[in-house]
Amino acid sequence: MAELEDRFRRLLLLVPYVLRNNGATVEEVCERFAITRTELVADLNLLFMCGLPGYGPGDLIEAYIDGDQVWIRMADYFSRPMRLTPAEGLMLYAGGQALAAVSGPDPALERAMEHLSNALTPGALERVSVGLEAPEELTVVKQALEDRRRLHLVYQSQSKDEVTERDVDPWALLLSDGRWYLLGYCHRVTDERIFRVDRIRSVVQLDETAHIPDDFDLSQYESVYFESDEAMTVTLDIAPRANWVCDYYPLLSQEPLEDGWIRIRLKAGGMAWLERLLLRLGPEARVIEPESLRQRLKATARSLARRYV
Amino acid sequence: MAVRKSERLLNLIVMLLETSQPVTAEQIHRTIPGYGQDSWDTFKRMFERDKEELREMGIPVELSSVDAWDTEHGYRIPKDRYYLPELNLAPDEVAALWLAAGLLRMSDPGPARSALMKLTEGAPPKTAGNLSWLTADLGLAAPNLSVALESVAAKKKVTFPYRSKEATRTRSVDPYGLMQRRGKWYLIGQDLSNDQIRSFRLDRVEGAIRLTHPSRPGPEFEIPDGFTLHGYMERPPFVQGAVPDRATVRFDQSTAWWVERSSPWLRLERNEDMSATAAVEVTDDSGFISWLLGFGEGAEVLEPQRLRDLARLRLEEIFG
Repeated sequence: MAELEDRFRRLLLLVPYVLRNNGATVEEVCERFAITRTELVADLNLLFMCGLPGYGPGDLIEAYIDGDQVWIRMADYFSRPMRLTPAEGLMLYAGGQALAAVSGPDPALERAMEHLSNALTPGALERVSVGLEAPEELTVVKQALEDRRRLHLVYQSQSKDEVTERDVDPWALLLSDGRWYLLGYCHRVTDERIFRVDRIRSVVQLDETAHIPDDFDLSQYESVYFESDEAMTVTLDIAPRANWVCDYYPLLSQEPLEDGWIRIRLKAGGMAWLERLLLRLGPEARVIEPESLRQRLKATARSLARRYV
Repeated sequence: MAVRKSERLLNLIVMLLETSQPVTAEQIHRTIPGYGQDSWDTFKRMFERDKEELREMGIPVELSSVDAWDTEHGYRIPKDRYYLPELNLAPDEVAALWLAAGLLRMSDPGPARSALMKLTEGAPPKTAGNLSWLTADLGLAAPNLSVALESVAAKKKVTFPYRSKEATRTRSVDPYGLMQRRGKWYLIGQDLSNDQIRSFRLDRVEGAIRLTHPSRPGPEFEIPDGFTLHGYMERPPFVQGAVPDRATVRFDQSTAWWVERSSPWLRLERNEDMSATAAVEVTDDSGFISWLLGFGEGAEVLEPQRLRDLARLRLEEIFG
């Protein structure tokens, strides 16, 4: 009965609004709460038998549509909106933190966040950390997006561990898994690419106008994905103590083995990145496939070990 | 939720909000039509569920004494906790809130929207559609996030089944704070079974986080002096704990840039060749070695010899 539950929650928002704006048109109310006239009528019908104990004519709430206008009476106790729930407060607060990371100091936003804290249980947000990074490069990227200008990047890729310079037409900024990503058209590879903003070593805005495809639709980018010439599928066995790996990286498959070990398959953006993950895991991971990765890992481990002899 | 139940809940809210003193369960049973036909036991079960549902919607139902002798207890909804305080948001503040809500990407935008419905009147400002090139996924769909925040805000003890490396078992925790890192939400608190402060990832909670004493008003613990969320989280686990060993680590030029950016808890000293050296206080050897080797050829532990030997042994395990 989720529908009626939604209706009930909506009612607790709708009643205070109508009480403060009695005589508002059906259209206004429906638009604000994104409902149809039929739904509005059904909402108001829920109020029919409600009111103060006694439940006589002088106690019950009156709610009706008169022509084109919505009226609610005898419910003064609902005329002020409810306090924000923790979830509601947290959503706006987190959104505000993301906005602040991109926009830099904004007095209106800061004041709004302060009011937000006041609308919650006192102290609720003091012990919450949204912990967003705001690298300086973000400001330059943001400006270029607003001005629709091309960017020049010095970029240190994680998958290949190399530094490259490239011109990019910025299309969008995405925050995913706590990291900022720049999505755009890269003139070096003449294709769409995604860049981790914290891996941008330096960035400047160029004079050229950025070209953004007419049919570009940010909502199509459900998750950040990596494309690389070196992309490959690997199979690893992971020890129980290292099972956090399964939570952190998107897996193609996983199956349990003996003694709590897990066999996983994942798609990796490049050898360099994988190698470092495996060095970190040490004896808690074994490479099953491909053989080339296993050989490369052994060679790197051997050459690193020579430093410590 | 049936229509009858909606009416019952609404009448319950009105009764508990408008009463001048706490009303007893018997009074509620007698008064609200939706409960009247049912036996006392059925009523008690329904009432418990109803209270829980109201609490989930953010409506506080408090239990307190009806009289000065503390002989009888009753319920009410305190007005100051039910109503939104008068905020008088300026138009530019309203616009900022709409923008903040608009950039969130999540499976259920309901709470962000209902928050705006409570805080603002009138149509969305024209600027609400700006920043179409910006979107943020902050992991806000994490299970139990709401009750976790509620417990942190009100300093209420919580209980939940938690899956760790070894097994799933029930934890009782005094929650000190809530934080997001890398898209995951963590509850930080005192684990009452071993008196340690630790973090619990919400997506490893198996089932629901419950308030240990849902109807008890007021805070249930104090946060120790000196505890801060930032202090707790900024340092990785292998530098937390007692009697640290001091290691000297050298990073090559390209790694030094990255370490400086990604590990703000370290202080790097630049060498002439643009490589960098840092002192790391190590309390967990194995965790430290993993972290070090994760930089590949970009990092080397120079001192002490003990950790250099451990690094070599770990590497030998890989190629041996």
